[in-house]
Amino acid sequence: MRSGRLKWFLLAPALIVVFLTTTYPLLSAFYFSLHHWQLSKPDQLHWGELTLDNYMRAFSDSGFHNTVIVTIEFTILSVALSVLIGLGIALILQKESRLHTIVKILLIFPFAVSPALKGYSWRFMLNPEYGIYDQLIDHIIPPLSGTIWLGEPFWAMLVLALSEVWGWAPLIALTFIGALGSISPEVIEAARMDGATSWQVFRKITLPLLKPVILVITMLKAIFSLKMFDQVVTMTRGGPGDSTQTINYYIQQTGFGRSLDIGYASAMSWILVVVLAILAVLYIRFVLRPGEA
Amino acid sequence: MRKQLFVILTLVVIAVMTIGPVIAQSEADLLDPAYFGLQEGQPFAGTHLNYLICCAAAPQFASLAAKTNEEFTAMTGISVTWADVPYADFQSQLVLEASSGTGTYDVVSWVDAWGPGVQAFMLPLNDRMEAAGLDLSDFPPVYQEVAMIGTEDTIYGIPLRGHAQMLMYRQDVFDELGIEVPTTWQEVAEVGAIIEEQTELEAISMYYGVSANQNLFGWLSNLWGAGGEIFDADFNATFNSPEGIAATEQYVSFMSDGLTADGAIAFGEGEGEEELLQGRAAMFVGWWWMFADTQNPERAAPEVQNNIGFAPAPGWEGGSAASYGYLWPVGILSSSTQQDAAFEYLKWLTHPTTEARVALDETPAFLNNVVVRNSTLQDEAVNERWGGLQFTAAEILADARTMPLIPEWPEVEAVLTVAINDIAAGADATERLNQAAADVDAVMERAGY
Repeated sequence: MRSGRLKWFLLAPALIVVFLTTTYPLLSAFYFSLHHWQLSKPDQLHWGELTLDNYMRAFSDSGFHNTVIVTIEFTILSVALSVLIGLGIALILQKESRLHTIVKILLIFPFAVSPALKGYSWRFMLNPEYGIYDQLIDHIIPPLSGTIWLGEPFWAMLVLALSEVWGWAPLIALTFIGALGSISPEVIEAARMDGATSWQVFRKITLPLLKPVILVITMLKAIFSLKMFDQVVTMTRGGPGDSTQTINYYIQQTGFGRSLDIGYASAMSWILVVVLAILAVLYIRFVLRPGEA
Repeated sequence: MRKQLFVILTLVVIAVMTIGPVIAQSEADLLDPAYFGLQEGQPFAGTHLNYLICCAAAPQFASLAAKTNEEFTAMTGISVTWADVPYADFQSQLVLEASSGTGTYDVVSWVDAWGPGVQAFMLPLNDRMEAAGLDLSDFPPVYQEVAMIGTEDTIYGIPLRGHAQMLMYRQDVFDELGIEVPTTWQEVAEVGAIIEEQTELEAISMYYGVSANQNLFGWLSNLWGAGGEIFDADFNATFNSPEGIAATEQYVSFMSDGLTADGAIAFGEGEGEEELLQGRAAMFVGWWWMFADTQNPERAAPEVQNNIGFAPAPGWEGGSAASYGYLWPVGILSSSTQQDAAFEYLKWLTHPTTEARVALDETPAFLNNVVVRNSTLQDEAVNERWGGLQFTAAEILADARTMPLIPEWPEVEAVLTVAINDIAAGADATERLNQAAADVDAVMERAGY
């Protein structure tokens, strides 16, 4: 009994912090989402007059629908590229050597760069007049010469995703390197002795054994991608047009930019929270499933 | 000989007696509270004010911040911290601080379009200004309108940083080609075609990107010049009128006609300015504060420095030349617990002498041509320093307009900036503007109009 109370007493500080920084803001946001609250019109706010209008508005708001589509497109693109490129890097670097060790250390740096700085840097480097990426691509891939990377919806979405991949793929590669290291070399050797080619070894042995790690990484990356915000602010501002306007960016603009509508922004935030919660539950169930991972 | 010597000596004594005290008085004035209308005896000594403002590196702000520490604090004992919020975060920070009422900030500035959003949280200054013998009469009409956030008689702020739209052009290119400075957007296109044909330069640097709604600045001067309006009297969207469509098509024609950089579709104002500063474009329509950059060796390429002419922003052939007069007022948050001290700061910050000194400061980091008072715009010394720029600005600002000062404007702006970007990228102007008008009408209907 005593040890039970002690357990809660020791956990209390952490629980208070979690409550104040997570639970309370979530509950407050939900309460706000049930009101018509525009910051510029404080006299029109009536606490206690609850309404689902903000949620109904989200279902008919073409701007919100656009952001859902944009966010899904971005998520699919950035997750697929991050996992594929990360896996590719891991396969190249899985062998031990001094050079590979140095490269593995350097791999962490892109992830350490702040997302906002990533956005500013990429915008600068893609400038068609003086951007280094633009100049390099013009020389290496002539058919793409003259492309206005941030001026066309397709390319803007692609480079936005690539800026994210630039930061995440190295970290994912390090995770895969660890996973590849856990595969027993005897299994690979046995397959080779049976005449399996490298591709067959990869497809029939390595990939299935990596499947749990791939699923975990995919799910985690998807959760982060759904929340994309920083690079949209610093790199594209949701443009060209509204082709890179992600949900989080739209929410921020609704609440603190264009309409100062805290009620509606809170409702959209909660819709995103529900989606992320579903993904998080799937992630937890998968990770905690016995025999997997 | 003796008589001549006596006359000379007398003249010298008279000169010393008049010029000496004038010089001494000028220097003493800078630290004399009475000169700035401040309360004597340092009644607020020890008070610390926080000023929510962005872009502290802007020469005008850097100069004011430095002089605050050196002069205002020395005079009054009031210290001031300028918060240097990035422009991208400025609006959200302002709205958060104003609406939360925490009292963290005492003094704030805001962009004109944001005024209605924070009006409810700003301290009316009428009583204080009247008691201090101040009013807004020394400011252009458009700045007065913004300072009162569109009301008839409530003053919420004092104009601090304001801009006229100007056409800046490469004087050497125009001289070499023997072309006249254009006065209408149509003439800009004609002149631009000549420049494009006969030089390696882009005719004009434009910026159509969705960055902070900046692509509306030039669009508005086209719209108003052509006789179009954003709203009618009942706040129904009318920018999709024939005049609005014509204005928009003219505005984006530089993109479709190849007279501007290919990247202009994604450029913000800063990137647009760089095309002029780095010598890649022959013309640029932007804010007059950028003129100081063209003279700064740290910003402008050698062939551009001191080689830029200026003229009022183009008007519309057969129409008018009304352009957007942009303003940042400075005011006091109602939640401030140090309102009297904050008003002391406002008096000094916006004093005509302070403004003129900032415009005449030759420190490289403080090179600034921005002034907002009519008296400073007409000041001979300021105009001599800046080649008559302020005289031209005064002409422009006399007829300048501002964006609709309604709380819904930022949301309307967001619709328009995306539409303009789409049209610049090739969307049909009529179709896209009609769609934007429908979206704007929905915004206004939701707001109860």
